[in-house]
Amino acid sequence: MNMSAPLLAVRNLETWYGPVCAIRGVSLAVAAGRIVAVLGANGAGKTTLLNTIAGVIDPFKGAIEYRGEAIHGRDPDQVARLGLTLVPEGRRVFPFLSVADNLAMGSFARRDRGGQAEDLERIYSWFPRLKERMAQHAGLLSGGEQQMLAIGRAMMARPDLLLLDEPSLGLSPLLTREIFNIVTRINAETGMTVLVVEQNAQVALAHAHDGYIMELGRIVAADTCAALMAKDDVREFYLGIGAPASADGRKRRWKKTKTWR
Amino acid sequence: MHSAVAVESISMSKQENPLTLGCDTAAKLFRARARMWGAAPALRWKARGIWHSATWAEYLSAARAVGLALADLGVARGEVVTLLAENRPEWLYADMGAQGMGMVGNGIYPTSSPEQVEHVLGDSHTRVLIVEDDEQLDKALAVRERCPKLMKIVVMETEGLRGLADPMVTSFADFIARGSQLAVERGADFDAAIDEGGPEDIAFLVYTSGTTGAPKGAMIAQRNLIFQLGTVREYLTVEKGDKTLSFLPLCHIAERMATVFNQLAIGYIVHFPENAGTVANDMREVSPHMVFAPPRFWEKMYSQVELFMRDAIVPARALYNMALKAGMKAAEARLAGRPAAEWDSAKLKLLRTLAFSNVRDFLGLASVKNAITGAAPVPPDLLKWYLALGVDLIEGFGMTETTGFVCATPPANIKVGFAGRCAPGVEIRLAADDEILVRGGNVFAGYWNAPAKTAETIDADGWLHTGDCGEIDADGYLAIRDRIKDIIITSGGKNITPSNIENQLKFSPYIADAVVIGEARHYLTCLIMIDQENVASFAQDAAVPFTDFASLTRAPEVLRLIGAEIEAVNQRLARVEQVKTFRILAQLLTAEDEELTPTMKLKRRVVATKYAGLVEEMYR
Repeated sequence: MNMSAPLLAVRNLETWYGPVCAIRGVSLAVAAGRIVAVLGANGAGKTTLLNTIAGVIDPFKGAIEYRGEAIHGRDPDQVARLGLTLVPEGRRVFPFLSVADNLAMGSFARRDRGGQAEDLERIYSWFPRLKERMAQHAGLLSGGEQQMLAIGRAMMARPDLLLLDEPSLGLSPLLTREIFNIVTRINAETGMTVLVVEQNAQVALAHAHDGYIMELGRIVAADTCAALMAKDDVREFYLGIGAPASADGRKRRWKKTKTWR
Repeated sequence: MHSAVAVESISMSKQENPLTLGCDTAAKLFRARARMWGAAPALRWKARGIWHSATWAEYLSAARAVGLALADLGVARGEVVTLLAENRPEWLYADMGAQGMGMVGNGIYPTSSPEQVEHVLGDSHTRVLIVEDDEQLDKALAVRERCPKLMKIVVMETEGLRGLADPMVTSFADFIARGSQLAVERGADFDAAIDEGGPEDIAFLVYTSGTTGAPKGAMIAQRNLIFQLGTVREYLTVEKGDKTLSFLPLCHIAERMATVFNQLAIGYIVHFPENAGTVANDMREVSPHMVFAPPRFWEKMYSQVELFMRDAIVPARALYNMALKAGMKAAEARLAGRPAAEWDSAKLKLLRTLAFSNVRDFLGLASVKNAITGAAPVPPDLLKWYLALGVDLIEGFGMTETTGFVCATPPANIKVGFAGRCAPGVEIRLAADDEILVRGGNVFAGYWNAPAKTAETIDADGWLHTGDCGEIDADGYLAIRDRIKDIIITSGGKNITPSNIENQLKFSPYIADAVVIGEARHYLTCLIMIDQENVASFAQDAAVPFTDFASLTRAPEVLRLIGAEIEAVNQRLARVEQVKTFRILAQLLTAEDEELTPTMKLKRRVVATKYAGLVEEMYR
């Protein structure tokens, strides 16, 4: 982690859905210009985490600081105007608007026409398929194209911090890699910081710089992605790189408790 | 018919003892009970959320089937049959079936490593191993080449094993079906085998976890069991039809006696939880009448309640504190020997009902009649808290080599810090350097194939050298100070009992376990294992950021918190006993780690060796 203050600092976050505690004390830091991945199985609390950061849900305890300013408890549109844009889980494009209109919705809060045109060009260059289907209704696009559109729409707000919720959901492995390659490219070219939440550990760890692993609302491992990929438990339980065979050559079957060492 | 009655077992001849019915082996008693109580429920288990029941008749018939199937495989009298599974009815069917046929029962902790499994199988010359599922099977298959006596492995849960075609492996369902078939043809063989048994027969082995050297198999004879069963009324008031929950490992002597054998004397119904994770919920559902557990279990319940009350609304907290204060005062008066009229008032009862009945329901202690702890040092403040709540938590002392209890506290006369008086027929005395010696019908029959070790433990006069030191007061109450081997001698020549210090540290909700270091050193230090749940809760309340467990242990506020807990204990200790500094173990330990015993206690020697680096840091 670099020495300067992080762009986004989450401390002791606790979020409840009624009587159920979804996030039980999560603290993490996202340094400017880095891609940070948050991994975990279903129900770990990853989407809740992003939704709380984006202001869609209010936390019960804890603080979220963006550039040193407290943003927890604020309305989502205020948070968005500060420079944090959320690409929600399941894409959520506006199905009856065209691709071009969807993108235009992304820059709704902006006033600089010149800048918007420039960004639009850039997005079409990253996602040539969107340019081809400019006039098409977004609801008729394929899953991969919708994901590109959702990211493009978010990029139109010229965010400093992009919150990506499970971009690989429902996409083929090839498309998933394509999406992540583009995100990495955007991060390299523009220095945009990315906080990506993913179930597909393999692709996330391969593209991100830093990683956190969540289980049942808690962080169980926090390190650079390179270090995480070397941990035995990550390899066995998240990357599917099988454990060594047992003495008689058969695949070992016993359930080992995760220790995260 | 023979409902359990509180009778003095001292002057009763074996003929009239309603607890043992004049039987000289547990197998005979088991058969007699199954005939007497045939239709009554004996065992219950929860599967997929639904409770199932087995009557005494069904229990006997299942044991008979397993016993006959084992004999059919060629297992002979005196040979060992081992179980490697969590607590479930099949464990008992197999164990009692084997013992009925005159074979020797045995259990291995399900958290054991393959190497540990190999040691027990090899040392005991196990002929048949019965495992729970594919996970345990893998361990057995990994080491079977080095266990030449092993001829069969039986698997209870065959999920994931459909493709397996190993001649040595069979399913429990097939095994018991074979046995049931044999029971039709020659069921009388089982009865004949039971009749052939006698008091000197070895019933089962218990491998002691062994903090020094490899684990040894303690042999428990039938006469040991009958002796212990004859004295259960010294500390148990539960009746036939009462309920217990079996959640401690059955291979441990305490659970084996409580679940399998004491049941034969009293006739309570044993309930098996669905799995290790549902114990708290199952406690609430079953609401057992008898609960035996090590101090750690009672400590966890206590700290759960205390921390829960911290977040409670003001009126609830006020009521709780008021009731606790009154309860503590009454407890102290009771312990000081003041007459009941003085402290057992209607007001206290009312406060208890208002404030504590929900707490007791939540903990599953609503119906408890006998609450017992032991097997590790007990913090006195813990006992007082339970007394304040209206739960008569009593302390007992025993070990594998004494077939369980040696002493138990009579609820009518609790002395905090003492483990009670010994049962009739048992003698205790102190030897040189205050080592506790025990003699009586419950002293085991020696270590399996280890006559030298046995001779070291039981002397020529029949006294068992327990390896613990303590004191006996004028009333015959025994107090345990520590394991003799664990006593620390500082560089200044001072004798320190680390258990005393560790006990007090463990009472803190933030400290799960502690190991005090100081052998041949200038001052004492300690290594701490924190309670993850409670410390994480503290960190949340105090807005202390942390990511994973290791980062939690490094947070300065957590270090300050633990430091304060240690300081609070230091205040109550003599100068030479005070802990100068500490380090927190940065790994979250589980029962599968070598640092912990299966009952989740830190192994002193292993910890001191493994974390030698941390220790050296503290003495720099």
